[in-house]
Order: sequence, then structure tokens, then C-alpha cells
Amino acid sequence: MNFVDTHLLTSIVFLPVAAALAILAVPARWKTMIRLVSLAAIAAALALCAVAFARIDGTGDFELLELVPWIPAIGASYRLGVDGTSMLLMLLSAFLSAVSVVASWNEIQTRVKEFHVLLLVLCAGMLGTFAALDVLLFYVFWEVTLIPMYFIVGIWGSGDRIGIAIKFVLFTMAGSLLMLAAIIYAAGAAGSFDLVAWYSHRFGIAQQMWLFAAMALAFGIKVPAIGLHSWLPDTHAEAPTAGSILLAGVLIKMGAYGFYRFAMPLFPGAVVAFSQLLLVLAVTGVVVGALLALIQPDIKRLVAFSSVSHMGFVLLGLLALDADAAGGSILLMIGHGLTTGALFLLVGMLCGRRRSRMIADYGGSAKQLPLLATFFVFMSLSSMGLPGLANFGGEFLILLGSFQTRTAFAAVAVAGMVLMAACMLWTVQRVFFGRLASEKERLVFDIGFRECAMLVPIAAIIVAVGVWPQAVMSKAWRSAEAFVKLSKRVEMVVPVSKYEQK
Amino acid sequence: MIIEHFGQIDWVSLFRFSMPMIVVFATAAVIVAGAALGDDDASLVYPVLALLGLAISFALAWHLWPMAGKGSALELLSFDRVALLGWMIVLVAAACTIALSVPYLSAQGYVRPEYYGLILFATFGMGVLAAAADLITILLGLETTSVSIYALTGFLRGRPLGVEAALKYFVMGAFATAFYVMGVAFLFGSTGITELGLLAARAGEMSSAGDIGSFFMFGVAMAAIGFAFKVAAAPFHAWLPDAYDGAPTPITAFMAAGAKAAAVLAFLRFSTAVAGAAGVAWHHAMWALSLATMLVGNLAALRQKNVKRMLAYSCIAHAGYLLVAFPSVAADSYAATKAVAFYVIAYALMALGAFAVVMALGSDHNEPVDVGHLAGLSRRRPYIAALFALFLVSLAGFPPTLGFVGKYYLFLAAVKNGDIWLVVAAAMNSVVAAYYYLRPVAAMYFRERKDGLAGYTAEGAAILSPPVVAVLVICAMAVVVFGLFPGNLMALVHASAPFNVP
Repeated sequence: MNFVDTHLLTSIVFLPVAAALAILAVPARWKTMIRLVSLAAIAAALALCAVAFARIDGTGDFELLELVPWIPAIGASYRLGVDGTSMLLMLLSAFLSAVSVVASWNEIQTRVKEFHVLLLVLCAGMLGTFAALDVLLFYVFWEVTLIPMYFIVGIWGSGDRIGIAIKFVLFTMAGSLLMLAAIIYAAGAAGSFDLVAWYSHRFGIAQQMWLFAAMALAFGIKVPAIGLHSWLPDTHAEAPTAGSILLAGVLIKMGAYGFYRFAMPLFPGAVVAFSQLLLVLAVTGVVVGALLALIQPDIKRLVAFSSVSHMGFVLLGLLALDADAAGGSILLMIGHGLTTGALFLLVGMLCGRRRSRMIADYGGSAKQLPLLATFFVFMSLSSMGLPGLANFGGEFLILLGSFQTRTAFAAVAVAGMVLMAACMLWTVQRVFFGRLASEKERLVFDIGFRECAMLVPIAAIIVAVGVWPQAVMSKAWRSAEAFVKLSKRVEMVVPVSKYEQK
Repeated sequence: MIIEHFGQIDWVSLFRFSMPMIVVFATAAVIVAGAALGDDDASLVYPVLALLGLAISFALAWHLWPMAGKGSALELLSFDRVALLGWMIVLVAAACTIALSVPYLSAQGYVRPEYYGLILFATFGMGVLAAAADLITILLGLETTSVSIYALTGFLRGRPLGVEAALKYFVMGAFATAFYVMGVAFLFGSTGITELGLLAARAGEMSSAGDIGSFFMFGVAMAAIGFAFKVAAAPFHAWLPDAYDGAPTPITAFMAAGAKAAAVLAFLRFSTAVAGAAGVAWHHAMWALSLATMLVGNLAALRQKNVKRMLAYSCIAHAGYLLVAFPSVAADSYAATKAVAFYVIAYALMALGAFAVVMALGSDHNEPVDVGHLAGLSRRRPYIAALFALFLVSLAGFPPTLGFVGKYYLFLAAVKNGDIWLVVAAAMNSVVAAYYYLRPVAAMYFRERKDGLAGYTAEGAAILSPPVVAVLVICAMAVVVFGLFPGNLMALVHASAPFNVP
């Protein structure tokens, strides 16, 4: 235990890997055993995340640091460390991974062993991405999430799963390879891969433009910014429930985290130059994402497009360069991860019962599925930002902050919120209320104990986050302030016009 | 020149450093003599003898490596550390080839001792090539290698495809040699020198005197074209797909891992000598050559159905990636040599593994393995499928595998030299490559076996014998372990580079 105590982050990241190796040794037919090992490992990682969260002070600096030389020849180290924000995202990752394991308990019946090995590797990759302070290490973890998700979509997905899995990989890879080129270049300029050293390095202005552009493309694909989003609805819709939960809950947060941790604070000069463009993309994402969600006939794609809209909000909050708004983005990431994860879970339950994802096939389901309908309405309310539930705090803070610095954009984003509310309400109405769509409705059973066991904690956390966001954010505020301070360096020192004349 | 230096030669040192090569040559001679005198029974004596010779040679080379430095033999061979490193790569490739060949030849019913002799002669030639410090020795190395491999390509006389491939390869190889010899003639004519070190010095003098004439440039160009043939750079690549496809699969692996490594190292040594004098023209020519090679290799590989042919085309693409470091030779030959040497090692291990899988999957009757044949392989042959997936993912350059580290290194050399756009092009090419590398993976894991391919039965159960398993395991271990912890391998490469040329 002493090792765990001194290497808390390493233990968190590699616990799932150890479990994956252990599962490899278990015969494939012991399915329950495999599921239990997987769940136990992720639960343990979650518990350790909670310990780590309790242990950090939230000073805005990186804490729980670990440093081991990794590839000395090129100056890359195994350097881990977290602040409040990354710790929150690690908690979210571990929690949603645990939910995914339970969600796939009955859904995944073929190749259970492979599934859980991949899920655990994916979990380790996500945790590592948020914990890495060495940029090369970050890149490796970032890419490590790609291959397991490729397999999860490709093997257990539905529809054109093979084509969609490859589309997912190629989209992400196109961005991340350009980011790799940027990382190599920046490491040459800064002399190492140490992120903290990069923060204090002054990159030349032309360098900043290119480096920011490459990174923003990689992160923008992942978020996804509107225009780069075409992989998202396909992948989210055709992935198995566990895959959808993790894609929407965590993987797209990695893109926003990339902006938060790397692209914006590292290249403040470029932030000034690119912010108008990115703001337009963000706000367009809010509105167009909601509009696209509104017209989807497929309920899973609908939820997927709602993510585009919410992530637009997150981007807006980051680009507002205001501590309130940045804090709101963090809060919304958590809220959206929980809410959308739960929505995908519910859609998975619904579609698993009825073997259809088309909204038109449903109607009046609330009569047969009262509990499921209750949870769905609850999550939809959270998703549209009802006060007292998880998304409200984040969206409110983002609007509060961005109205002060980016008034016009914030005003447009409000319209997106209205559309989102319309979309969710209309969906609930069409699926759960009204007349029974068909006699088949009578044949389905409401959710049972296992499903409630997943939904009740999520709902409880959503209420907790909504009612008392300060508990979540107490350790992340200073991180948000540090982010704004770093990202605003140029704006503070030199007025924009003068800066451009240079 | 030889005569001038005769008195100054350190015969002891010469003998000592050429010992590893002498051992291999002697083993080859013994095998061929044994083949002529003894009867052609199917005994394991010859391959075991060959492996023994290779092992002794490897041990000697390993022992000599730390002592290698400025020594050279008759100004014809330079025993610097890169040469010994290249020699060790070639030895590993040859040993793996022999291990693969034993079961392959017995499955083909064509066990002949000369085969092993030819492999050792080719190995010897590659060693000469890796160490050659004179335009003439390079020619000797090229021809010793090529002639042995022509014979090996067409070794299975019963296979029309193999004989045709050998003939094509021979004609194109002769063509390449003609270019090269023409280049040597012009270089000799313009400088009066064939030794690379003196050539570099003379070219430097001419360059600073502004005296680089068209004869010199023409000579460099012709010799470079000769090399471009040998490393299969576009547009001089046309021989490669046919030769690789038609050759016995172990020989294909040998060509990809060994012959390519030696040719690339010789090309790099030649480049180190002349690039400075050839200046901008060299930079631009290599830039274009690299880009064309990547594009041609990747785009052609996209269209291949046959796995072996796909890997052959991808081998062209990898030559293109290797060439990414070549424009930077003049500016920073140390960085370029490190990058190329590392990638050559990485590619050798990946290619050996991948072709070993192709061999294990090919039936006893040389049925080609199409991507479609792989459908559902992960259920029937889970270990082979997993290994193949690993090698393909590594070839595609995903972290945390060796392929990623190799690519990182190449990109680093080019970025340092300012060839950012070439790196961007290589990155985009890697995205294309990911598409075709992941296609067999998708077939193996995402598809179920179709009835239409019932005629395909074998999947070489007979060929998966202990030596093949050993090769697969060694390569897989290397790809993973050095992918995660490249430190030691990098240290070896760092200590080996640069060449002892200028």
C-alpha cells in the first residue's frame, strides 16, 4: 500500500491495465468472473480517484506530482500531476467506466473477455490523458484511447459498424498526427516535453499560429467543433451502449481538455488571432447542433447531436477568457458527461427492449415503462439545463462570464439553449406520452434492479452537482483562474491592434 | 589509393573488425560445399549450421561494437558503429528468415541446402553494403546482395510467379546497377576519387571554391537514382511489388527487413558524403522523392486485396517515410542518421513479424491470402490474429508501439531541419496508411467467415511450427517493449551515429 500511497496517480492509471492483464489469463467462458474483475478494478480506480481528489488542495498548481525518466534521449519523462480540473475529469472517467461495465453486463454477450480487456485499456488511456503533464506522454495516452474504441465500435457496434469504426479512427488520427508534428516542433523550441516548462516558454508569434492551428484542429475534431463533427453522430449512434457512454461522457471531453490544458494557455498570442473564428464555430455548434438534434428521426443520433450543442457551450466558456465562464465549462463538462452518459444508457435500455431506435416507432411508452420514463424525463430536464440539475450551473456560469466578454456570441448561444429544451421536450413527448404506438409496447418490461442501481447514483450525483456545485468546483476554481491568466497573457499586456502591427 | 595506404594498414584491427563478416562468409562456403559434396537429404544440419554462424557473428559484432570508431579497412570498408549496427540488424533479419524458411521449405517439399548458403551470401553482401566506404565497395555490396536474392526469389522453380518475379527483379536490378555505375563514372571523372571520405572532402573544397560542375551533379544524380531503385523509391519502385509478391514469403521478409536496411544505410552514407556539396538541389530532390514515394506506396496499397501485395506496397511507403529524413542530411547528419537507423530497426522487426504472419496464414499450396480470407480469423486463430493486429497497428504508427517511436524520430529530424510541410505530408500519408492497415484488422475482428470462401481451407496449420512461433514472439515482444520503453534502443542508436564519413 505504501507504493499506492506515494504513487497515487500511477496506481489509478495502471490499475485498469493490471486488471486487463489479469483478465487475459481468465478463460473466456467465465463471463461473470470477467465482468466482476473488470468492475472491481474500475471501482477501485474510482475509489483511488476519490482519495486523490480529497488529497489535493486545489491551489491551481499541479499536485500529486510523479516524475520518472522515460526516454531520456529525447527529453520525455513519465510526468504525472493533476489540478482540480483534471482530477474532476478523472473522477468522471472512472465513474462512467464503471457505469459502462454495468451497462454492458447483459448487452454484451459475445466475446466478453475481449470487450472487458479493451474497455479497461480504454479506461487507462482516458485516465492517463488527464493525468499526464509530459506532452509526449499525453499524446501517447491520447492515442491509446483510439484503438480500443475502434474495436468496441467495430465488433459490438450496429449498422455499418465497420465503416464507422474506420471513419472514427481516420478522423481522429488526421488531427492527432498534425498535433504530433506540432508537439515535435514545440518540444524542439522549448527544449523538453515538460508542460510546465512550455507554459513559461515564449513561443514566437508565427510559431504560435501554426502550433495552435495544428492542436486546435486535433482537439476541434475530438470536441467536436461544428464542421469537424461528422464522425460523431455515426460513431455515437452505432457504438454499443458502453461505447456511446464513454464517447459522449469522456472522449469528447478530452478535446475540450486539450484546449483547456494545452492549446489555449500555451499559445495565448494565437488565441487572440483565432478566437473570433473559434467563437463562431462554438456558437454555430450550439445552435446548429441543437437544430440538427431536433430533426433526427433516430433517438440515439438525437442524443449524439445534443452533445455537439453542449460542447459548443463548453468551447464558448473557454474562449470567453473569463474565470467564471471557464469554471462553467468545467462544470458543464462534468454535468454533460453525467447527463448524456445517462441518456445513452437509457436509450440503450429502451432500444434493447424494442429493437428500434426510430422515434416514430415509439409512443406512450410511459404507460409500460414508468420508471424508465421517469429517469428519461429527469435526464432530459438536466440536459436542457433545468435549475437544480447538473447542466444548469455550468451553462449559467458560461453565459454569465461570456456576456461580459463576448456579449454577441453569448446572446446567440442562449437561442441554442431554447432549441435544446424544445428538442428534448419534444422527444420525451413523442416517445413516452400520447397513444401507444403499437401493440408491441405491451410486451416490454420496466427497468429492474441492476438498471436502477446504475441510474439512481447518476441521478443523485446530478442533483448534488445541480444543487451544490461549489462542492464540485471548490478545487477547480483556481485551476480555471490559472487557465484564464495563462490564456489571456497577450490580451493583458498589449492591446490587440498594436499587437497585430508587430 | 590502396597501394598508397598499404604500409599504414593496421592489419590486426582490420582482421578483427572483419571477423563477423568472415564468419558468415565461411559458414556460407561450408554450406555450399556441403551441398555439393553431401546428399540432399532433408536434414536440419544446414539451417542449424547457418544459424550458428549468424549467432557467432552477432556475438562478435556485439563485442566489437563499443570499440568501433574511426577504423577503416583499405579505405574500402568503414567499421564504424553504424556499420556494425546495420550488420546486426541484417543478422537478425537473416536469422529470422532462416527460422521461417525451415518449415516453409518442408511444406513446399523443396528442401535444398543451397538456399541457406544463398541467404548467408546475401547477408554478407548486406554487411558489405552497410559498411561500404567506397563507391566501388558499395557496388560490390549491392551486387552480392542482389544476385543472391535474385536466385532466392525464383528459388521455388515450380512456381511460375516466383520465376517471373525473379526475372523482373533481375532485369530491373541490372538497370539500377547501370545507373549507379554511370553515376560512379561521372563522380570519378569529376573528382578523381571513389572513396567516400575523400570524396566528401574534395566535394567540400569544390563547393567552397564554387566549382561544383554539372559532371559532379550528374554523377550524384545517377548514383542516387541507382540507390532509389534499390530502396524502391518512386518512381523507381516498379519492381518491388512483383518481386515481393512472387518471392517465397520468408525471402520477402528478408528483403523488407535486411536488404532494405542495408540499402538505406548505404544510401544514407553516400548522402552524407555528397549532400553538402550538392546543396539545395539535393534537398529538393530528396524532398520530392520522399513525397512521391509515400504517395505512390500508400495510394497503391489502398487498392490491394492481397495481403502480401498490400504489405509490399506499404514497404514502398515506408521507404518514403525513411526518405523524410534525407533532406536534412546536409544540415544535421547526426539527427538524420539516428532517425534512419532507428526506423530501419523498427521497420525490420515489424516487417519480419508481419510477413511471418502472412507465411503462417498462407496454405501449403501458396494460395494468396486475401483480406477477405481473413474474415473471422480472430475466432479461429486468436493468437495469430492478435499478433497480426499488433504488427499492423505498429506499421500504421500508433503509440505505444515501436512504429510510433520510429516515426517520431524521423519527423523530429525533418522538423529540426525546417521541412515542416514534408512532415505534414507524411502525417497525412500515415492517415491513408491507417486505412489499409486497419482493413485486415477489421476483417479479422469485425467480420464473420463467409461461406463464399469455403475453398480456402489451409491457413497453414503445418507452417505454425516452433521456429515461426519464436520469430513471431520475438518480434512482437520487441515491438511492444521498445515501443513502451525505447530508451535503451535509442541509446544504442545514439551511440552508433553518425557515420564516419566526412
